[in-house]
Amino acid sequence: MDDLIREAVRIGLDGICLTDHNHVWRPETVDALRQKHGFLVLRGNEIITDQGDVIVFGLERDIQGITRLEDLRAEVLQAGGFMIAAHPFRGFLTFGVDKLGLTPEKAMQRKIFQYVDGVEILNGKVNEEENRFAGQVAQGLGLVLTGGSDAHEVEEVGRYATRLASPVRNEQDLIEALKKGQTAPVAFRRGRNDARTGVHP
Amino acid sequence: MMEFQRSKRVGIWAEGPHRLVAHGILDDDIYGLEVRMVVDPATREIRSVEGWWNRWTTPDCPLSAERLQDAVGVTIDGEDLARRLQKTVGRKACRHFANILIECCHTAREAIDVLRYEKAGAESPDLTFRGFLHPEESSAHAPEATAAGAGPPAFKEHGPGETGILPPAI
Amino acid sequence: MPFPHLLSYSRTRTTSVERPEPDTLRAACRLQDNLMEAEVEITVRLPDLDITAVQSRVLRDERGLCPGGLEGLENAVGVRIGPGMAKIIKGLVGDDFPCPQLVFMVEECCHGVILYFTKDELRAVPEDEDEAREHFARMIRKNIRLYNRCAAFAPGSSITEGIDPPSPHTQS
Repeated sequence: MDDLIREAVRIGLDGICLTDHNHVWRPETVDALRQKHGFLVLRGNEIITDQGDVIVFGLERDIQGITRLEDLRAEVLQAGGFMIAAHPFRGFLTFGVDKLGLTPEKAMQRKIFQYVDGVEILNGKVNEEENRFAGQVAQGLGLVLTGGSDAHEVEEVGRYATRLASPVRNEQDLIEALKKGQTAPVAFRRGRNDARTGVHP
Repeated sequence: MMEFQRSKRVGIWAEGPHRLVAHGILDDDIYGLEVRMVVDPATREIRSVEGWWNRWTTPDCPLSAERLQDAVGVTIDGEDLARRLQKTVGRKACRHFANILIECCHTAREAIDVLRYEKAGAESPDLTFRGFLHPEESSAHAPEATAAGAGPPAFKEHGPGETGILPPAI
Repeated sequence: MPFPHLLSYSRTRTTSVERPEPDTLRAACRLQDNLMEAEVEITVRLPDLDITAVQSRVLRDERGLCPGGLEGLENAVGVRIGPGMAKIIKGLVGDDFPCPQLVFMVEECCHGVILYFTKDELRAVPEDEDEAREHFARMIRKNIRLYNRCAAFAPGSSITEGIDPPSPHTQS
């Protein structure tokens, strides 16, 4: 984790979000990382639902296993959190969504988009076509747009990020900024000169 | 109309008390491949694997038949068997080879149960398969099954020293 | 003494996919072995590939793990066929579901659906070996997650020649 944060600092990110799959970081652990590096580290959680992966901010409960999307939504609303559909069109290895006859208009009717606040339209683990499709769907629905590198390795940090309009000091600030919807997903490593305030979930 | 079909066939036979052979065939509209795998029924480990293609897709698919050896040493009823074979054989060789190997492993462990049941049944003719699997439910047969050294098929109870599970070959 | 080359055990599993309507696929998996005989059928709606129905039938079960009228498999309804589906299906059906074979058969049906589309995609592969090699190289460039997925797409194969490897985890 130290190496990952050092790399985030080195490339000029203003903060990072730890969004491990079905794992809630302890606040004191993350506080210690913040103090140690003098760098903004925020907590999130990537939860596996019956409708796909969802990044959640503002939920403290450590959810294990597979959750029904409706149940997760109810819990996040209760907690005042924020839900983002993660890589919603991560597809098959040998054929694309076009093969299935899936259009952005049809995809907008998917259940997941009725239950999330935002959509990750730049994800570091899917191909350009899948990201572009996610962008078309999210924009068509007027959902909040985010970007994230989905980094599992140090060198992947900051591939994509989310630029936020207002300053973020903690998780509550992040949730409020996301709820305002003033976000811009950016390809940070490729264009970091114009994205200095990027935070990547 | 049928648009796609996949058939998998696994046959298991014993070559003496220490060798159980599984021959698996995967044949579908796209791929055709076969594996032959030897399992030690005492340790429940895969001792050898060989595979070959009949039909494939890319010009380099045949390379994968030479890269199945990560399966050797794997225990056929390990908890993460499928994941392990997919991560090793599936990635380094071909996921369709991993698929038929997993099928062979599942089939081999059932075959071991059946062979052990048959051995126990030879000494207790009234023993049913279910009674063999669940001796607690048919206590009348349990002592005989235990006395025969066969016992119920608790997958992880087999020690390396256990032998003679299979009937000897002629 | 038994004759040594007699089969001790045999299993046949067949998975088939039909397209009864332009927007509907039906996949069925049938299993027959010494201990069990069973069928699972799923209905899948296009273009989302979500499972709209699951049916199962156990005709014979010597182990006694799969009694008739089992509840739980229908929890797979609503799941979309795609990455991560096996984990989602297992999670929704539940760890305490007594018949893992039926869950596996649902997964086999899902794989059948994916292979059905893969088969269609492969019709576009040129017959000439060099052209086929270039076709698959283009496929990897378009979807770098394919890189190092198997022996044919691994570094050193003729297909990946000239293709830059992705960062380690882009492949996962």
